[in-house]
Amino acid sequence: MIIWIIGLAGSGKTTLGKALYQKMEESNQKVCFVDGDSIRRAFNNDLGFSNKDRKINADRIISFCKILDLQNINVVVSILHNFPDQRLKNKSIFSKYFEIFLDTPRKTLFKRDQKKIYSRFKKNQIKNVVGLDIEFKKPSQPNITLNGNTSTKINIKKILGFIKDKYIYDKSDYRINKELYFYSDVKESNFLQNFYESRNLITKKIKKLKNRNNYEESDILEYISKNYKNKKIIKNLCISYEKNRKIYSSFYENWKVLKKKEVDIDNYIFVSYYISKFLKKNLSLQILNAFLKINDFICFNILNKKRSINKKILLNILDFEKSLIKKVYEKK
Amino acid sequence: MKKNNFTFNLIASDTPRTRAYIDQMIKNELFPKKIILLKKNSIAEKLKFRANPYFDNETELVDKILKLKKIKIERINVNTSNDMRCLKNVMSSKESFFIFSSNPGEILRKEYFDKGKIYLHVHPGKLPNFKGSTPYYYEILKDKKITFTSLFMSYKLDQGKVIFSKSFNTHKLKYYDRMALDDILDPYLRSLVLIETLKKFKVKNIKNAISVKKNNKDYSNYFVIHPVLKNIAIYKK
Repeated sequence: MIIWIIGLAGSGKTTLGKALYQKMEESNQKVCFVDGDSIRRAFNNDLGFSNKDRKINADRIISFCKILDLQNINVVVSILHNFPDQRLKNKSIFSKYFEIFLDTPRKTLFKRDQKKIYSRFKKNQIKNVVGLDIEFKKPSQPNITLNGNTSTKINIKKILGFIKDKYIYDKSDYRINKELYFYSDVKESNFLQNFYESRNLITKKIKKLKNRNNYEESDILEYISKNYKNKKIIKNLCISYEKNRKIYSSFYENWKVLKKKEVDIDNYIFVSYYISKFLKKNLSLQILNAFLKINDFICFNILNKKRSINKKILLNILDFEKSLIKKVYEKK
Repeated sequence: MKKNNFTFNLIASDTPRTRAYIDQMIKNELFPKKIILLKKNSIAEKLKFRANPYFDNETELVDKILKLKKIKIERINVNTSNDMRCLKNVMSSKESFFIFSSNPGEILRKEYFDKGKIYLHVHPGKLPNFKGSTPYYYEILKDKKITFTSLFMSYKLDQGKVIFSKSFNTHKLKYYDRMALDDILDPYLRSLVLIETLKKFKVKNIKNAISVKKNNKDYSNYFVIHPVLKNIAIYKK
């Protein structure tokens, strides 16, 4: 992961970058801090401050970040970066890329002026100052824009809140977001923790909902409740969900869709329940895969609708899901 | 050793897989006669092009091929090989042998197989056991290894004749290699298996090179792995 902090001279990007680096290191993350000046020094200060030299320096920083990113080392970069084409490319070359724009009012910049850049420019002693004789190209689509007058502590909190891994798969409608599971990002070691946290939140919400014991009967439930021990039937049901992202209420005997009437969310809960009953006795990765996706879909619906559900069954399913994941993880 | 002068074309879109294929083709001087280049589909648009020690993932495919001056490019403004414009181009080609490296998630339509054309694909899983999408994660969970299999495509998913396969033990892989399975390791290992397959064709007639292995259709497909199982596959020791 690359956290790319952009700001003008005196904006506070180095202070923010260093503090962020320290905070991430304290939480045992593999992290490295890089700023434009440190890379200049590493190359014996062979570059000046013209646009051309600035671009070469930025290229060097990007190359360095690539090496670290590939080894799964996070990098916090503080840089006066002024090249929109490079920013755009950064989005596709790193495993994760967060662009933060530290937008500090001019008044503050001139007041801070630690390196005397602005005052020396005014006295005609230097040129090539970004924001003055070199136009500053503001980031057009940063992930976050922060105010340079806000305290570093608050800005760090905002960044950490934004970059924190979130379990997104039960927060999107799989029927619409068809590519939800393609190239899923699971690289962080705390991914499973995030998954459990997300499920715990849903469990809390379920407990607050009204309980309902009756549900709409459907042919699918009648069929599955009689046949849930039959692997072929359970497997075909899971394949049907994986292919169509839906479970339908009417089937031929060989489990092909007869009538495209989608079942109610209560039916999904019961389907998941019977799959869990099957999985208790037979661990199949293909069936478990569909089971997890169906549960994501149920959770998404529960999160977005205030309605009564069969609480006991759903809580049982999520409890079993948790124990099953643990079992798979620990299985040698 | 008697060499067989075979020619082939490539059906591709600009993905890390195609870049890895071209990289290995250059290293081994095995060039396609032409590339039928398609646009990226929405899944391919999400792919990352990270620099890595295994293959050149940074140079735009078109730039690289133009620089080579050895391969003809025919660009078709469609994002699926199943568009009629792509089908017509393939069918009107003199060559009968194609390497398939188009957008992820595609199965060739039936008409492609009408005129005896052959399509070579490298599947990221052991066949016939691991058909479908992202099978290598399931293979890691089940067998602690990943296998790449070259096969002649049929219009049914991963059910063509198997040519060659190679397995890699995953316990030898570093975590950061496992984490880069989708965007770096998969294309790289596929490219190695592709080249080994092409080398077989170079010394033997294509049909003789096939040691047809059973590709039993009884095995059901795997579907895109759930992120929880993917994470376990990456981190499980």
